[in-house]
Amino acid sequence: MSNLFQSYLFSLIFWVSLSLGCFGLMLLHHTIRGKWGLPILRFLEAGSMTLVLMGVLFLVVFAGLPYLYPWARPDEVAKDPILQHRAGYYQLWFFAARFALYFAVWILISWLLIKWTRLQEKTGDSRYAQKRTNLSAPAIIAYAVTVTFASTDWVMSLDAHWSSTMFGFLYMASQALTAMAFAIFLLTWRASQKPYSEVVNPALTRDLGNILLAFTLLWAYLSFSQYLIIWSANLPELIPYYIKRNKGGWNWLPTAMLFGQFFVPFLLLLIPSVKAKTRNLMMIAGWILVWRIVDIFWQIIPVLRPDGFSIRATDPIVFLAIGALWMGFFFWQLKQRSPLPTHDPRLQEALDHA
Amino acid sequence: MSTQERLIAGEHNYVTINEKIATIPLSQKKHPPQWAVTLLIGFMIMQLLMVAVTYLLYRGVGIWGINQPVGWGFDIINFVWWIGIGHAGTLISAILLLMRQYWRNSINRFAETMTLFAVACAGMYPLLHTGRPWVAYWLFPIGPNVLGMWPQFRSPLIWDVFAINTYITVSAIFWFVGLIPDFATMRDRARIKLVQWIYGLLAMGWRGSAQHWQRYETASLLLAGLSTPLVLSVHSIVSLDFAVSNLPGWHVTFFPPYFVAGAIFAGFAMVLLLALPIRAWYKVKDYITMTHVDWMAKIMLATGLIVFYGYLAEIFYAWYSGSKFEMDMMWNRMFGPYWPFYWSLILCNGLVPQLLWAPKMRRNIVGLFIISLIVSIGMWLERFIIIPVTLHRDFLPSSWGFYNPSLWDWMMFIGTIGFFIFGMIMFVRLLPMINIFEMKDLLHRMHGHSRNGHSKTDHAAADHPPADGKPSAGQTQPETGS
Repeated sequence: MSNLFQSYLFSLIFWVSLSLGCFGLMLLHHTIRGKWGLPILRFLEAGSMTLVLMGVLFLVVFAGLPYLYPWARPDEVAKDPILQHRAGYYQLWFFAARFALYFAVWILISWLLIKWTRLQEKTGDSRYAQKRTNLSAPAIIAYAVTVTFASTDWVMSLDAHWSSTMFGFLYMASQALTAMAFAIFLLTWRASQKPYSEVVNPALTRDLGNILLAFTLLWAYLSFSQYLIIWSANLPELIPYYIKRNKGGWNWLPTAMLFGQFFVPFLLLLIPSVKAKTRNLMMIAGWILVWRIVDIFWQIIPVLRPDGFSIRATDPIVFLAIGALWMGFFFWQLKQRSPLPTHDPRLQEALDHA
Repeated sequence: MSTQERLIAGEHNYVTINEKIATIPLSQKKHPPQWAVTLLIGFMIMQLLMVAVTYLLYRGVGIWGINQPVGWGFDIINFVWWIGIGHAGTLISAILLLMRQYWRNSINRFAETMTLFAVACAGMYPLLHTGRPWVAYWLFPIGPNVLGMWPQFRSPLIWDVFAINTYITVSAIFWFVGLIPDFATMRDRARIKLVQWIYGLLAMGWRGSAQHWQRYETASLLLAGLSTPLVLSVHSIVSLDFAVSNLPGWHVTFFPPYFVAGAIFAGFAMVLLLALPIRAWYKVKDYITMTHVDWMAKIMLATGLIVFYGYLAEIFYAWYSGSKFEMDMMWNRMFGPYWPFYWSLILCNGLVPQLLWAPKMRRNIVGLFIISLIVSIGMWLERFIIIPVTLHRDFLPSSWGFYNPSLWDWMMFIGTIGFFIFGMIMFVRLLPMINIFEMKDLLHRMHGHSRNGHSKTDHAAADHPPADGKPSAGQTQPETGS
């Protein structure tokens, strides 16, 4: 039972991160209105809509709270003053209310933005663009606040005493990296098919590659800063987070991540010719996605399996099961509408020229 | 691109750009009375610095307000404040160049110069805080053969030495390389022999041939690539001066990005504080347009929100940690003896910048000037809260104390502001404050080849042959992205 919930939480956090990354990038796109966001906008929109599915799937976690979180185990709380200090915050109803609020905010904003894109496509009224920007800019604040609290509730609190002000920010960066890699993977995978072939050109792949490079750097910068600060102070409340994740064979994961998640994509994405070819970019994006899974696995599982490195059969099974549901929902959403957005004249120009 | 349409207002061609910008340093007549008044004020305030430093070298750091337990006071507050201000310049010159944001073209020279003077002000503090600046070379890893010891490489204070020296070196080279084509324009336009000779020397033989431009573009792209990590690394390392300790209030994992965002926030406030009056005094509103002002205000809003997020995250996680010392630290900031500072900080950096959500406010010159001033004060208060307010009460109540800056602290701080004003105002007098050739480049991008057939332009090209900014016809720009 406990294995099942461990695998479930790890899988859920990965797929929710992907949905939230799509949501965050969609907000960013509508705020700054960069041209690079248009070819991948449909992916981001469909990815944001999967939050509806993820909200439903999350309910399963409520059945397994004591298997996962120390604050949900009364015997542990009874002998731990820090958990008692937080007891009010981690009452079941309050935890559930927060969960409901996060998903309500995410889904409502996604729904409005997607509606306004659709209405603009139908009516051609450019006022909807301004409406989206007016909502997206403050929505980024809502996103930052909810993701900070959600990552604290769902991941940080797996460790009884650990806390880090960087954590929420790190989650936002990781989500953006995951979703960007995912969107680039899909776009480059279909780059030779119509209508994508008409908008994918070396200038676009260079821009997207550079954004992927920037998010890779941001992720590495934030992860390393957090590690360096906690390592050097070596405080008894904080350092166990890294000790638990670096002993008993778990240490191979961060070591491999240093190369897999950072050095390899970083060095490859610096090379202009790599970014000019869709095939290369697709392989790098896919590679990053694999390492995103490893990262989430490393953050969640070691604290739940303190006896040392292990992958249980449930890990891949549950991961793929949730992934299949996610993909099914995603492609169903994607099929509802035209493969490329038609509301923005800049993309229309590119299509007309082709 | 449609957005570039607003980056140069009014009717301009290559000749009017030369007329407008290059003639300012060549003639005292172009300088309004405000220039002389500001120069005088800056010069006078700078004397405070001279006196304060002289007496400091004579008596030692005991004249400052630092004590036990507050061993870091104004020296480190002002160091962090100044170094932060410099960051906007590097962001504008490097990151925006790599992102191909052409609106940076008219403000980059200005902002880079601001970086140089801000880093010069910042550098003074740790150097003087050592008490014996004449042995500052001990900070370098000269090695045991000379000094009988190594510096402590695990200390972020030593990382600071490397970070800041790299920063000032790269910034200065980038600034100078960017000036070379403009020096050539100045050389060609100067009428006095000595002035021609000086600008000619600085132009380093620039003739504006295609080869020169090609090398120039490569060099500036490389320097931009080198500077980009510096925007993040310098202030991250400054933040580690605090964060690697185990003191509540300093040991905050969010510090590196939060310091970087704060630096850019303060830096853009300072760019606006300088640019808003100068664009009016020198009538360069066509080049530093309301679009520029609006976008700078937006960057200020965005970075200000990250900083505010940091303040709120610190409060929440201080509570969440359940650590008595963390909670007491936060309580002491909010309701301890220095409470007015904390709430002023929230007002200055958290609440007031929210006014920038309103497009009207971002385009209101007086309002924006006041907000920038408030933000600059707020960012100073932030460092005051982080340094003395954290240090004055730590784990043991028996070693608690207070911090009162002395007259000498104030004199030195105000003196560096004078030095900064003096430096900037001299820069406006002696060098083209807006990048001449990049403005021509921008004009070229905006109007394509249409202006090449313009009779005035042809005439100008004959007048001042190749050094005159970008050769117009046929010259294709190497892409400035990587």
